[in-house]
Amino acid sequence: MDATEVQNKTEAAPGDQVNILMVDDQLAKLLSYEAILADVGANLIKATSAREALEHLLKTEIAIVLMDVSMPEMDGFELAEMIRQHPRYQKTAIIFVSAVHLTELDRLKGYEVGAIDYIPVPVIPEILRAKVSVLADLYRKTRQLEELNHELERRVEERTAALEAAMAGEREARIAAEAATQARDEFLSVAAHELKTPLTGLRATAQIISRKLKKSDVEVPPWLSNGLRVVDEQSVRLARLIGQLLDVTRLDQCKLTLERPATNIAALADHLVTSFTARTTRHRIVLTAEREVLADVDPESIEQVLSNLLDNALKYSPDGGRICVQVGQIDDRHIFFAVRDHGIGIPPERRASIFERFYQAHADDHRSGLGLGLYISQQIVAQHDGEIIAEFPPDGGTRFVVRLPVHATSIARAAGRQP
Amino acid sequence: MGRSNELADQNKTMETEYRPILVVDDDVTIAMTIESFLIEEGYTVVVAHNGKEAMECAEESPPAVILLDMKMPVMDGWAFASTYRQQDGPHAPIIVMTAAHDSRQRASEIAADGFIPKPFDLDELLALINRYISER
Repeated sequence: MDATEVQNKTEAAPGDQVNILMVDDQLAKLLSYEAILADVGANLIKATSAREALEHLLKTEIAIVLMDVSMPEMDGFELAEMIRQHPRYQKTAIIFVSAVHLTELDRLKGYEVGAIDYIPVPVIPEILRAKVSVLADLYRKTRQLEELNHELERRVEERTAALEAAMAGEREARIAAEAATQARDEFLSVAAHELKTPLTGLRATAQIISRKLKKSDVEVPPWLSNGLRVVDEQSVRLARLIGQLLDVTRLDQCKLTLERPATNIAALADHLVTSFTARTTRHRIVLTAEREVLADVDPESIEQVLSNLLDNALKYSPDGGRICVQVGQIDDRHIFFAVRDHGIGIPPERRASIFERFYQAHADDHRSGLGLGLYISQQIVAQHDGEIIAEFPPDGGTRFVVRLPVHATSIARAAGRQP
Repeated sequence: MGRSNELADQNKTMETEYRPILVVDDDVTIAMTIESFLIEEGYTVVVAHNGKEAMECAEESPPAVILLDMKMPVMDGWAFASTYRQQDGPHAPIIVMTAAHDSRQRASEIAADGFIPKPFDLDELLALINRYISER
């Protein structure tokens, strides 16, 4: 329904009736006003006293009061004042009919302009009709405007309510979604914890048996020592896969909280290379690093990146060989680390997708994991405002390079060391 | 480097000589495994399965190092750490061992002296324990 429709409806309504109250103690005058105003199109109500006029005012909505100033009991000005004091009639127009005296005109000044007028005696019919018509019209228009306003207000309220309901619905849906996500996270977190707990017992037991066998004088058959090593390795692998599951859900929500203290990446690499060297007999892991390479990073996350890269290097060079780890400074504001293997490499047609989630460049290979390692690594590096790229040297294998910005704390610390 | 090994004994002070390692873990298998491993390595070990038991053990025989699991019934690792530190007297270093995803975070929450994520390597656990014992 648009504004025009509203207007049409208002005009057609019986409520459009304009009531004019004529007050004079002389009935003859009332009759003559009635004759003058007959074709104004208003409902004319007659009152012969101020009291009677008030009675009508209480019962009926009056648009215009036409009144004689001089009446017995209560004169026109007194009546006008009473009318004005009532909030309902504050907008009612009042026309005084009076033999004009200067003093009386002065009294009119106290009234609101536009809502008050006067007609001198003798009354000129055309002037009375014109004044009443204008006021009646004004009243009608004002009322229409009010109705229109009410209608608009009502519609605004309706729309607002609808909008609020929609927003509340959306909010509820969001709260429900957040609750579901939180429940999933909590579940995954608890599940990861519960899955790692038996692994702890499993790994420790395998290691204890292995140790006891070594200490004893018994000659340990290779199948036994190898078997125990497999249990140990696979426990670690399973624990890492469980960790990755958690990582990837957290990365999806950017929930990975990164604390970034100044960290020596060289020391971190050294530690990892030592631990990976212990895990392999076929590979030779060579670390080339400056003594101290500082960057503001989350040590655990970056360790995870380097660990993922080393893990891949080991995994995809099944025949062993050299694995080169490099850590160094690019310039004052950037550092890098790289892991190069001499293994099976990545077929050219699969290179573009290696950082995608769940992508397995060697899907047909039983060594493949969840296809999350490089994805998680790239996400972590991206959260550090760095980049990770893969290079494919012509003599085979793969080289992954991670570049990271150094950031303020590490720059300050490095500068503090300068003489 | 068992206790019977005289060379190893020389590295330990008289004070820590008789102090046990307090292992706190609600998982009986893990607690037992660590216990038997450390005994084999020549340490005295006291085992508790929750924070409350651990408080009693610590009172009875003040430990040299505490290996603390975090998620436990009755009294968890957080509650134990704060209660233990409110007690008078010297406090043994606490090493958090947790299967939680962010072990570093867990350790920092209770201002632990060290942490080791589960499942751990026994050599690494041993190295960590010895670091805190020799520091004292």
